[in-house]
Amino acid sequence: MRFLAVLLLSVAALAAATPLFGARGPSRVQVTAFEFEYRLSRLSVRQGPALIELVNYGEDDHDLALQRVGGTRSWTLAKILPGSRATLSIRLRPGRYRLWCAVGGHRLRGMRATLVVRR
Amino acid sequence: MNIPVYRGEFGPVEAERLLWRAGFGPRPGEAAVFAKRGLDSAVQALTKPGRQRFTGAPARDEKGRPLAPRDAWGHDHLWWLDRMVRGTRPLMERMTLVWHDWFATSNEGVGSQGLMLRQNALLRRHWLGSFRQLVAAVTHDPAMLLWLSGTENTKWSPNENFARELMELFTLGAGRGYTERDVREQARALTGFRNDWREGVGPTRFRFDRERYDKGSKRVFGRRGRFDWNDACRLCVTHPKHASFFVPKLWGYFIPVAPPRATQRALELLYVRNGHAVRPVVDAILRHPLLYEGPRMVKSPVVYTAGLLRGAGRGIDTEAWTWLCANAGQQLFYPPNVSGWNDDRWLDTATYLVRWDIAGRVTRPAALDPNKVRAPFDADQLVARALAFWGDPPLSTGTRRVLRGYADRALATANQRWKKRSYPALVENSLRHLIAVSPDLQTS
Repeated sequence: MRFLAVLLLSVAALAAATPLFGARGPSRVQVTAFEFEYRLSRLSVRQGPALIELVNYGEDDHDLALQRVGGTRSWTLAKILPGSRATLSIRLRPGRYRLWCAVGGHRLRGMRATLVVRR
Repeated sequence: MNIPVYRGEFGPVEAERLLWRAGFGPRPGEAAVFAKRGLDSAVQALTKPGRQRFTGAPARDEKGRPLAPRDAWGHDHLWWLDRMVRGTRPLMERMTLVWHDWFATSNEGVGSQGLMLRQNALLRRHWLGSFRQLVAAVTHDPAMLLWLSGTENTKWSPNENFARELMELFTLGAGRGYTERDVREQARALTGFRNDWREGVGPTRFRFDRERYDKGSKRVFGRRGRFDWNDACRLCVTHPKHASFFVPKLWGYFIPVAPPRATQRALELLYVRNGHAVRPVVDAILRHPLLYEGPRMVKSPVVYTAGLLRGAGRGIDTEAWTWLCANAGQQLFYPPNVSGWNDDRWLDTATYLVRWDIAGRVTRPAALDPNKVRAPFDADQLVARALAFWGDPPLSTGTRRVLRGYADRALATANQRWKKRSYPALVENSLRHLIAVSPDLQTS
């Protein structure tokens, strides 16, 4: 009985200490935009919910487009001003995702990257 | 040459000031504990602390998610603020902040929170060590190489950016003991660093490449040799005018008036004789009478915020501290320029308003509910209770009088039964806020 009470108390304490989104939270990637390149804070993340943040450190407007290799759906973050940022909330599936800036010819000039999503 | 040591009473008031100047203020009861140790032991506890521990709940954002200092804007700021609030080595964090200001590098020009965090770890590693080693380490730190064009500096096209700041801002001071020719020659000595560029990553693989290094003879500070980047740093730190730049600059982070001439000279000797070690100099500054008897010093926004959170026993549980500190004039990892923050410009009508907001947000979660809490209908008791919330910080008589006057006037307006019941708790909430924004807590 005493053991059960201790166990219940421990479980309750554990539940109280567990954050809302689990210990790890969503995967996060920061994409910093310059003329004309993207810098990713990490090149590979776990599958599942993710927050992809675009930060514009450049002098021009930039946006972010994202598509899974082999997939048809694409996601976009609208164009943002220099010095501003925006975040895309997305559920990532295992595979490779292409990222690029869809403004003018920015993609051709180097604003592209690949993100690997692990199982 | 003797360096004066404070011989007056070392009570909670003095301990409180020491804990603010050499850290981020006391936790409730900590000033009394430090006072009991006496000056020598208190200073030693700061300069030679035990193992780093973190007390309290780990930092989270308002949705309960862990911080992502590498991957989310502002989380780098929160991550460091959390170390200041929960860490048990306050002087180490404070010295890291000093070096962050001294070798001011902004992510605005680096574009990688990961590289900024790597530089932060470097600054922390060298917190009270050899300044000569620190300068050498910063010189080939990737964030600095990007920030001051270190990897663009080649034998074919020397870039003077880092060489100039190395002397002007980091080791000698503007126009002190070097010429334009020294800048050009030092730039040649500092050639050779490079990095690769990778799609999706940006700059990577920072290294020294002899092919890019100018092997020719250089003339620096009147000496000739085939100097390289290590020599460039050594020549600056062993320059006869370096110590007289280093000491007052370091002193200024702890004491807001210039050191007396004899003290400065003695500290310079102490610094040079100890092989450019920082610890003995900081140790002497923290024992100096002017730290305890000299004028008060305005806390920077980050020191102020971290201190209020420590005082209130609250950890990092919101992203608001990033933009609040930024609006108050200090976002970590984003100093305004290569000279760092201007310590004479912390308070103005705009930044004071943000500090008001910071104090309100620190106190809000612990605000007393007037429908549930019966606080005493007595101005003196309310002031005492509000002070206890902050761990009883020392307040001037003038501030106490103002607080007491406010409490008196507010209670006097309680002309109905429900007001008499609910006003005391509301007044106590306001007093907590007013104490936090008083001159006594904005300065140390």
